Amino acid sequence: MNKMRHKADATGQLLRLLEWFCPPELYEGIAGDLLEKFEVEVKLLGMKKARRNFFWGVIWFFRPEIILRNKLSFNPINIIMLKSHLKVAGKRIWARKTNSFVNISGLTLGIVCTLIIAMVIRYELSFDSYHSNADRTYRIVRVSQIEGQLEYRTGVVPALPIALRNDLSGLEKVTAMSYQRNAQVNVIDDKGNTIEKFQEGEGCAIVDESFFEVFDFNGTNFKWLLGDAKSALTAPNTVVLTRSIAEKYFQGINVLGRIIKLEKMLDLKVTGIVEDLPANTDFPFKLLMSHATLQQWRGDSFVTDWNSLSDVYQSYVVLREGVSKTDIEQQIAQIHAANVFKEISSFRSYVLQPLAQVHSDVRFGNYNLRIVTVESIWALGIIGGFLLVMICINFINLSTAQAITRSGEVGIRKVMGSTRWQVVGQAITETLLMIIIASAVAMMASTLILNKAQPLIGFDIPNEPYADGFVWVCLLILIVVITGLAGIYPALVLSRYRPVQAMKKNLDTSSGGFRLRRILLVTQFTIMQILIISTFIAVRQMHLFKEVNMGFDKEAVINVEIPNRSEDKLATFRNDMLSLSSIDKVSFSLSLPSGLKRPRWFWDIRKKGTDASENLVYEYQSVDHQYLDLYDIKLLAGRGFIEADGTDYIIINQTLSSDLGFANPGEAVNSQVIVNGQTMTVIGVMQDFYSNSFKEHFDKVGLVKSPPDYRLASLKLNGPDGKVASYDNLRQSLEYIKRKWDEHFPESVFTYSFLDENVEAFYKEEARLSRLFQLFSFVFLMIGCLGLYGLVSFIVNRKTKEMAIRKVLGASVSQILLLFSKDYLRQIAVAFVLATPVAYYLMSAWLNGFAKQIELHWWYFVGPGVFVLFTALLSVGGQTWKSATANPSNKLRNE
Amino acid sequence: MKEYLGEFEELVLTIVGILREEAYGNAIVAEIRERVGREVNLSAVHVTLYRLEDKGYVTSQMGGVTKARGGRRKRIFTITNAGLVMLRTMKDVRIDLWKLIPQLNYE
Repeated sequence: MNKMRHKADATGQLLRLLEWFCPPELYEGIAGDLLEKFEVEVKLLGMKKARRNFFWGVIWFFRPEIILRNKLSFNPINIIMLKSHLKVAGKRIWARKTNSFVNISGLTLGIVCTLIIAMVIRYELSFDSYHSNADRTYRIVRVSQIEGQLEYRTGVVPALPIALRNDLSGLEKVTAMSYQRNAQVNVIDDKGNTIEKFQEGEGCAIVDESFFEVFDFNGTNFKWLLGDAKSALTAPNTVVLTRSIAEKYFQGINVLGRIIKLEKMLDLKVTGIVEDLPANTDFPFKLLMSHATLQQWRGDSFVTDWNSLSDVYQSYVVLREGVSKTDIEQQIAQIHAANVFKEISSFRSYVLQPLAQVHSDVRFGNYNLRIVTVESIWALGIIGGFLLVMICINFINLSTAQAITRSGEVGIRKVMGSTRWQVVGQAITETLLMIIIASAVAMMASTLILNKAQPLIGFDIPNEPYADGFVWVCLLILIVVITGLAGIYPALVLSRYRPVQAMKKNLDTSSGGFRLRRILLVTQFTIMQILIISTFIAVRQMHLFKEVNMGFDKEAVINVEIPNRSEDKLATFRNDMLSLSSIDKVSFSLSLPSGLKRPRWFWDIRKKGTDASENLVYEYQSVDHQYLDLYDIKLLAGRGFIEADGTDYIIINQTLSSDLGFANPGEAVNSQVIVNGQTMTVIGVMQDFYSNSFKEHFDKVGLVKSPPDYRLASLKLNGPDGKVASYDNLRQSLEYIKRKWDEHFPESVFTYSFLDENVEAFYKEEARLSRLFQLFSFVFLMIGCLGLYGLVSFIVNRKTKEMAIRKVLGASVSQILLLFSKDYLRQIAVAFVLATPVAYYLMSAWLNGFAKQIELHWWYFVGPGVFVLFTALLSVGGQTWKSATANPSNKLRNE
Repeated sequence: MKEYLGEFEELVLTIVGILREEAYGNAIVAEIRERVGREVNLSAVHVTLYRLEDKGYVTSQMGGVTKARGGRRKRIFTITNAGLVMLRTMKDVRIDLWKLIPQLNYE
């Protein structure tokens, strides 16, 4: 007997599962066969094994051939009940407008945000994932060990891809490419005259003929409109244009054989037109020059060049199937070691970086200059999840609180013969109806919002939400998940009521999960406060980026690229600029003190008298004698440049000085150093300034006065009253500068940038995230308060009489307010206590990513906490106040 | 030939023909194991039987109640005339084809 029960226990649940998915007419035969097999196996193999086999036996039957044999049985009773459920649900939603409004708007807000988050995440993960060989494609990146620190760079030497292509059998394809920002493009007519000039800030690339084999943009709209991948990019001086660029230059795409002139010196023949590359690629190319062009331009030594490095010259490889990444890395190391000096190969190595990480690894850059880390994707995902939790909690809180008002209905239903499951069905139908209404509103809202929110999200979502299958799938999943999370528990609570008790209505508000409601509220407020505190701190940190002193003056500086570097030309340009009253100072230089977009050259330096192995890599900058003054860079010792200085003087920064082994700045002055083999005298040591973003530390920087290397002019603006120029002023100045520019350099396009914007560009991604977080904090606060409002207005309504009687008996308004609010206040306080350590932990981890960070003051936590408390009080207090100040006789009279 | 029968379907159909009144799921699995030496999954056999039933090559009815099997009846399958015709045609076609292979001696 005992044994039999044991057996029944072992199989019972699984049989029930089988019965659930198996068509009824087949069930008996199948269950019998399974049981028979089980009985035999218990004797043969023992209980444990037999049970396991039985389990798998049942699971094996869970297959479409069986499940799809279920006939959809339409029990007429079910249809009638569904109709009635829908009708009742509709009526109830309509009858309790406040409640329904609170519920539906909370749900809508949550669904809109979750949908947008899902779209953003999908977009960010889709970058370059569509190429046929994406999983086997790697970028060759450079990792150097310099003074115990690892330096991560993207550039490779030109000879490396060539050597790999010839020597490594494990590579299927190798491609090399380069990229140029700010290229001037002249459109040339048949007779060689310039028709129009364009300045391309982005998109000018140099690719070889294998580029489109490695990156085939399979599954996007990309295709060749004219020309073909095989022949278009083989010859020197050829270029492939994207459709939109061709239309911009030639007002049409039928332009094979036309000529464009690059940077006023290179004639390129159009040999192909391709469809625009998709937005979700880190190869934002618009003009694709043939690699042979670069090769011809740089001469024969280019292919054997194992030394010159530029971060834009990158190489991608496709591994053969089954070839391991480490093998290839070892082979690359061998080739590299065989071709360069031992000193170089000892600290520099080439590593393969998977294509999927090009978009997400902050240590290396990409051509887009936009990196989205895996962490920020996770952060977004978690926020989406929390949003779901928030709206579900709202829903559960409101529904369980209100279950009490439905007790009578449930009682009657049960007396009339409703089963518990029918009551559950009714409650879930109502939830589902509400969620569907919310989804419909959300769908419309997200279409509207997405158009407006694009600058905030930071990219174009190509599809309208309703035209995107992915969105519909997400929406469906959301509906199911929310119904499951939010609908089932209240329905179960409701259906548990016993008819007699329920009809007597002697249930109080504390029934139906009063404790659960408390826990949920605390959870909700904890999540909310974590987010709000974190956002507050993130905003403070973003503020720091903008405001803090970087070691140089970045305000009101305009940078202009200069095409002609002859000294007298620059001198007249400078004089012309200075003749304008609003321009205070003018300086010429190779680069800028800082900023995302600027030329960067790296040279070797060592103390005179030391060995070549002591060489340090430092950032070489060529500046004129005005530079330090214009940027207000402080000297610690020695002097700045004067006009008469030659090219053999150098000013180094503090970090470089101490890394070279000088005990103090004073000692460095007048000593001799060797820079790229040439002896120079240190004339000054300047204070460190941030040449990178605050995510990194100071770099080693040295300044030399070498006019042939000047690339940029810096113009310091000065308002009439000595302050920074106003907007009108600025526009006037810019117009003037452009006019003068056109006089001096008629063949070039005038382009300028503001240094402070260039520096802020470092934090574009952080700024975007911080804006998103601000938005989400607001949404969380809204949803939380909405829920609280709904809950309180319900309870206050239920307790109007209690309030009235208390008042009649002499309670003051403030006493009543306190009585009804203190519970919520306590919960918010508990939530604050829980949220603070979590937020502290999260934000210190985030801040650790920056070399310069804000201190976490106590009020960064208390401030947002008080803010949440205040907002919550407003939503609770308004309701309570109305009831508490009402005339008690009005409330008590109607009975 | 209008209808097509897969290899496994043909095997199961043949076994149903062999087993006659004793043709139900477990027995077919055991018979295949014994005669062909092939381990097949019970669910696969069931699915195939239902498919054969849809095609009209077998019929089924519930057997008598027994004490074993938790009191559940067996679903007994019988081969129909159409099933027999099908089996025979398939066999004939195969033999005809076999005859077309040049008869080689492997001595």
